[in-house]
Amino acid sequence: MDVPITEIRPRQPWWRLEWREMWERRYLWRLLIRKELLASYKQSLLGPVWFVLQPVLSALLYAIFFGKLARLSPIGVPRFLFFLSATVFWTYFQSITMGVAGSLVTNAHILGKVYFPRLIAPLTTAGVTSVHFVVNYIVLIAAYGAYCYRSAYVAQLTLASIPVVLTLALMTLLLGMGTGLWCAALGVRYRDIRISLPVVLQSWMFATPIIYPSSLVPLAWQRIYFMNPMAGIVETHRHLLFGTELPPPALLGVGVVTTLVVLLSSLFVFNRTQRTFVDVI
Amino acid sequence: METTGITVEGLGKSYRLGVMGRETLAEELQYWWLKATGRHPADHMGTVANRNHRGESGRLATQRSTDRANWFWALQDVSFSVQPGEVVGVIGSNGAGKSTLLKILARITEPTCGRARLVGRVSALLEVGTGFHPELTGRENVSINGAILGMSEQEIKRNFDGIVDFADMEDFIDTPVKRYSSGMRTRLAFAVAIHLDPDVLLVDEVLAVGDAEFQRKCLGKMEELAGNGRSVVFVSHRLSSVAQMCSRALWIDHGRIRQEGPSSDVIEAYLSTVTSSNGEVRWEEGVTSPHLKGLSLRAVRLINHCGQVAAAWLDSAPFDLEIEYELAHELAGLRWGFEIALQKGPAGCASLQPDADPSLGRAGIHRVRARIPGGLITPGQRRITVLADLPARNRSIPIGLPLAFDVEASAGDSRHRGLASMAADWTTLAPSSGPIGQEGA
Repeated sequence: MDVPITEIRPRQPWWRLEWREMWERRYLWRLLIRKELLASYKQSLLGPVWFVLQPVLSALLYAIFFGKLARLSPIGVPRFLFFLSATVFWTYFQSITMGVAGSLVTNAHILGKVYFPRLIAPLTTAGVTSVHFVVNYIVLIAAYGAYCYRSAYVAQLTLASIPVVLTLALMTLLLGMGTGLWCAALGVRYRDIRISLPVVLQSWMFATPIIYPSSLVPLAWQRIYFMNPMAGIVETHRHLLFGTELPPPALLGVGVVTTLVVLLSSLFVFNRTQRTFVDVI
Repeated sequence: METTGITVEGLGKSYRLGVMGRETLAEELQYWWLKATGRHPADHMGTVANRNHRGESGRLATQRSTDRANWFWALQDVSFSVQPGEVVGVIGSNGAGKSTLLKILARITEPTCGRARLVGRVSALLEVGTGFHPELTGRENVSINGAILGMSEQEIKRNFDGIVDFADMEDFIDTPVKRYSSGMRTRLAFAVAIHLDPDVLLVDEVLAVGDAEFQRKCLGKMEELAGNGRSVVFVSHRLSSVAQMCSRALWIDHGRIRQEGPSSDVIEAYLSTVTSSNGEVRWEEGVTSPHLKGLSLRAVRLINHCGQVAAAWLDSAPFDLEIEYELAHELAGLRWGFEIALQKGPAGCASLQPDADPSLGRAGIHRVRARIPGGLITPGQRRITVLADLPARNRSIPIGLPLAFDVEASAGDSRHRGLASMAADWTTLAPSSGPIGQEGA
C-alpha cells in the first residue's frame, strides 16, 4: 500500500505548492465554500439578495449620474445595461481581491490550529465569490433579454459568445486571485495594506472603463491604459453585448500577459509567506 | 520500509526579538531610507518583540547583528524518534517549547533548521471543534470539522452515525450549534476527533477542556491506536496522564530536550526541579496559561498557622494557601481551587471555591487565601497545585508550578495510609446475635 510520508524541513523551495494535497483535500474546499455561503445567508436580513443587489444598485446609480446626467454612455446602447455589464465583472474582481486579501487573517484561528494547504483558504473565497458572480450574471442576462424583447433591440449575444464570456470570467478570477494573494502575503506583515486596499481598488475602478467607455481615453494613452487587464475584459464583454468597438487584439494580449505575471508572482510570494505566517500574525 | 513512526533530527526554531518595528509599509520604507542614507535605523525607530525570522540562524544572526536583533530559540537541536505502537509524552513548563514542537510536526509552522519525517497519515489535535460555525447545524459542523481534521468524504459518511451516537445528540443534530450548551459543543467536537483514524496522532493539551469521562475516553482512544501499532505524541501538563499513558517521555526545557527516557524517570526528574520547597514561588513576569487569557499568576505561597511562609508543619495544624494574581481584563465567574497530591502520583484531594466572588474576576491585582484544616492531610511529602476555574471550561486548569511541603506527624509514628485522613464517629456496639438494626427493639 502507498504510505504517505510527510517530510518537514525548513525553507522548502519557494515554487513548491502542494498541488497533489490540494487535490486530495478538494472535499474540504467544497465544504468550506458551502459553509461560507450558508453562514452568510443565515445571518442577514435579505440573505442572498444582497449579492444580486450590489452590482445592480451601483449600475443604477451610474446610469443616473454618469449616464443620464453626465452623458458618458454611448448613444444607441441601453444605458442601464451598459453600466451593469461592467459592474458585474468589476464587483466580481473587487470581491475576490478583497476576500482573498483577508483570507489568511480572517482564518488565522483555524490555520493556527490545523494544517491543510493554505491556498485552500483563498480558493474558498474565490469559490464563494464565483457563485455570487454566476447569480449576478444570470440577472444581467435576464435584464438583457427583457430589454431586447421589449424594445426590439437586436441581441448581439449568441451561443457562440459563451466560451468568450467564460474566458473573461476566468481572467477576472485569475487577476483577482493574483492581486488578492499579493495583498494577503504582504498584509500579514504590513497592516497598512489592508487599510489602503479599498482606496487602491477605487482608483483602479476609475482606471477601468466602468463608468465611461474606453473610447473616451486618448489614443496615445491606450497602450498604457490596456495594460490594466480589467479594461480589456470589460470592453470585450461590452463588444459581445452591444457590438461596441473591440480594442486592438494586441492590447488585449498585453492584459492577458499582465494577468499571468501577477498570478504567478503572487503564488510565489504567497507561498513564501504562508509557511510561517502563524508566527507573525 | 517502516509503516509508521516519527523521526526528528536537529529540529530548531528561532524567533527574532527586539527588531525594528516595521509593522507598516511606511515604516519599512523609512527603514530602507535610513539604511540607504547611511544612518542607523535602530537609532531612529522603535523596537518590537516577536518577529519571526526565516533562514539559517547562525549566519543570519551575526550578519544582522547590527540591527540589534536577538534570536530567541523556541526550540533547539531537538532529536528523537517514535516507534510504531509507542505513545510518547512531552512535558515541560509553560513556554518551554512543547507547543512549538507540536506545531512544527503538525506543519502549522515551519522549523528554522533540522528535519522531521512522519510516516503514515498524520492527524493533529491541537484543539477540538476547529472551524465550528455557530450558525450552522450540528450535522453541517460535523462534516466541516471532520474535513478540516483530514477525514475524507467517505470517512465522514461512514463515521457520521457513530459520531452522533458517541456524542449522544440524535435529537439536536439538526439544531444550529449556537443553541448548544458549551458542554454539548465540546461533546460533539470530541466525538469527531475520536473518530479520526491516523497512523500518527499528535495531541496537545486538548484534554484539559473535557470532563473526566471524556478524558478517560480519549486516553482509551490513544491506547487503542497505540495497540494497533500507531504512533502517538502527547503533550500535556497533567503529569498523571503522561505517567499513565506513555511508556516514554521527553522533557523539554528552554527549547532543548533535557531528558528522555521511561516516563516515570523523566517525570520524577522534572518534578524534582519544578517543585519549589521553601513554601513560596514568585514570578516576576507572572505565569500565564494558554487556556486562561488575561490571567497571570504572580505568586503562590503556603502560610502556617502562625502567619509565616513555611514549607513544613505538623499534621494537626491548619495552613493557608495564598494565591496572588493579576487580571488584564475582567474574567467573569473566576474561581480558585487547588489539588493536593503525594510527591509522586495523581492528585488525591481537591477543593474549589463553591461560589465565584465577583470581585475576584475584576481587572487588577488580587490576593486570595484558602484555609486547609488541620488533621486532614496525612504526614509525608506532599505537593499542592493551584487550579483556576472558569464557567466556560468543563474542567479547572492547573496553573503555575506545584509547591512542595512536608507534613510532620504530631503524635509519634504515623500509621496513616494515603493522602488524607478524616475524623469519623466511631461507636462500640454490644455483641448481638439478632439482625443488624434490631438491637434496640
